[in-house]
Amino acid sequence: MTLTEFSAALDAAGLSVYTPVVPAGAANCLAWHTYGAIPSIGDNGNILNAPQVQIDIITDAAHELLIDDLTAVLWTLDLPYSIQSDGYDPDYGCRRTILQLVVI
Amino acid sequence: MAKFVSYAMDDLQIPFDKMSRLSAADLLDILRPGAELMRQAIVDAVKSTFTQRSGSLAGSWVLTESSAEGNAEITIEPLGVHPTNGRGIRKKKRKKSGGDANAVVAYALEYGTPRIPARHYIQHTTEEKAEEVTAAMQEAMNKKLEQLGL
Repeated sequence: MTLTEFSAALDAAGLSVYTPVVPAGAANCLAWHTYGAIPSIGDNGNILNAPQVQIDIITDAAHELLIDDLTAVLWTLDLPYSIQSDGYDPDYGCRRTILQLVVI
Repeated sequence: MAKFVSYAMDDLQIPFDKMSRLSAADLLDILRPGAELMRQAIVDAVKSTFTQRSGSLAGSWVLTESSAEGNAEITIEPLGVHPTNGRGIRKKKRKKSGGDANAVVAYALEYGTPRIPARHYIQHTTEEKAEEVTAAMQEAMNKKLEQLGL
């Protein structure tokens, strides 16, 4: 999967999507950015550098289920993720959930 | 809050029969060289990534050892409070004490904020140093097993 396809899939999830960060004051939206790449072997045996991506999901108390909507999209795309952090973030004044994954 | 967990013992080649004869103190002795190596690598990453006023954060990384119920664990974490820099604030109006905790600063720099870009310095360091750290622990383990005659 390319980053363009990944970005399009996030857009289709129906949330406002920013990159690289959610601006201060915005809520119920997500932002993503790449922060590195790791070598991976593709189906055809070629080695490629798969981008590592961080997704920040910013939600207020009334919209916490948006996180489930996004993770459902990631499962549909066969993209396993790890939750790095989840809780109230004073900079955003909302709940911030940080996911990391490799887009491949 | 940011948390990086590496189940390092899984990377070591320890036969189960020998592992079961190691005490928690022995396991700490095995983990310690790798943990210290990783701590120093993170300190170096902080100093090289954040050259300005990084002293407090760089100096705050410590190893915390625990051994409960036979399990050994070493946590690498920043402790203490990051002093406010007072830059651009008149001297009279500067807060005399109380900045954010170093852990909060480390988290903000790692994952970013609306105003600070994410630097991922801890994750990059742990990925880069993983093999070296595992090798250090493997060496410590071999010495320990030899010392115990296992």
